[in-house]
Amino acid sequence: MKIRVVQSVLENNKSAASKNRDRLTKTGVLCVNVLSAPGSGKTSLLQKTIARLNEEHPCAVLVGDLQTTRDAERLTNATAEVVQINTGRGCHLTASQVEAGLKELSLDGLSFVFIENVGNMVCPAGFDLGEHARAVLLSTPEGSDKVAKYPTLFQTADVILLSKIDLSEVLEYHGEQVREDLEQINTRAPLIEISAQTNVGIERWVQWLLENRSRMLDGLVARNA
Amino acid sequence: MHELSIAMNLVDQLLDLVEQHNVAGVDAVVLRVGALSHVDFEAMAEAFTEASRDTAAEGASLQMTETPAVMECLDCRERFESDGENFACPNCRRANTRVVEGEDILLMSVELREKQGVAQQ
Repeated sequence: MKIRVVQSVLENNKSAASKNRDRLTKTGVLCVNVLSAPGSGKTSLLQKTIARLNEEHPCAVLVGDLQTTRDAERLTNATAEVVQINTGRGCHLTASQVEAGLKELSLDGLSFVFIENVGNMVCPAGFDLGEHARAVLLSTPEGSDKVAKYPTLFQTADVILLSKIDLSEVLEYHGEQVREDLEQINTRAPLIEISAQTNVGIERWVQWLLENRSRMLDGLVARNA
Repeated sequence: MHELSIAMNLVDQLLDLVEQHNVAGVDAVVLRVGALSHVDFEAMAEAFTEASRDTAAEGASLQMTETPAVMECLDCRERFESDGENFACPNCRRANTRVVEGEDILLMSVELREKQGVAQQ
């Protein structure tokens, strides 16, 4: 017996993601999914970001890792609310893991939830978690051809952060290659050069976050809608 | 590696269909895989074997075809196919674009195996 179905295999994830997004939007919390390769500086960036924002705009972080709670420990010094999600065998976070993580947080009173995804530039790209925006990092030591190598991930970015920019001189880093590649892949997202060491670009990134939260409160940010 | 979580979702959906239609199992599954979903067919076939083991979906054949990425330009609203490496609008030459199709994995049809004796009645 042959039957026609036509349904998304990712349906469970999609419906959990839209529930997450509705819940976050209703409570006025902007949720940003932060993605990159391992070691690009997601945790350091979030430490800096939270230190800058937390007093006026309370932040929480959901941290996805295959193993350990080390990133969560680093972030706990910067904010009260950190939830560790160990994915075990999983190479990406899923919307239902995020749903469970959000239940651990008291969303009322929060302005931002950051999701630090598992360090991986392939698998997390296809999984909507219910975020309002995606921030994709690439760091100068990774080389300047990452954008062309992982076009799908960079295509989905709403903001792209070129991190560890303080090392660009010693690495003789060619940022033009990144810009050139982005011309073909994503000119929608702003590119911000940042350094968690010297604070270069942190203010511009923080302003981007605050603007996007205002837009969300005005009903203008509607990812995947 | 994310093929395993996709395969586990697929098997859950297949088992729901088996229950709904009160059949013995699944013989064949047809999927349309979006070019931007990063699903490797070989890895997906292996993951499906793993995820369906000891279930009513075990042994089902898996037929996969790739569907292209379709983009929309946010400036001129042109819709165009992308090779998955270049997302710039052919008119505007800028990549101020969004994905319309190509991220999803669709279960199109299934061949269900009826319980023995039911067919003859």
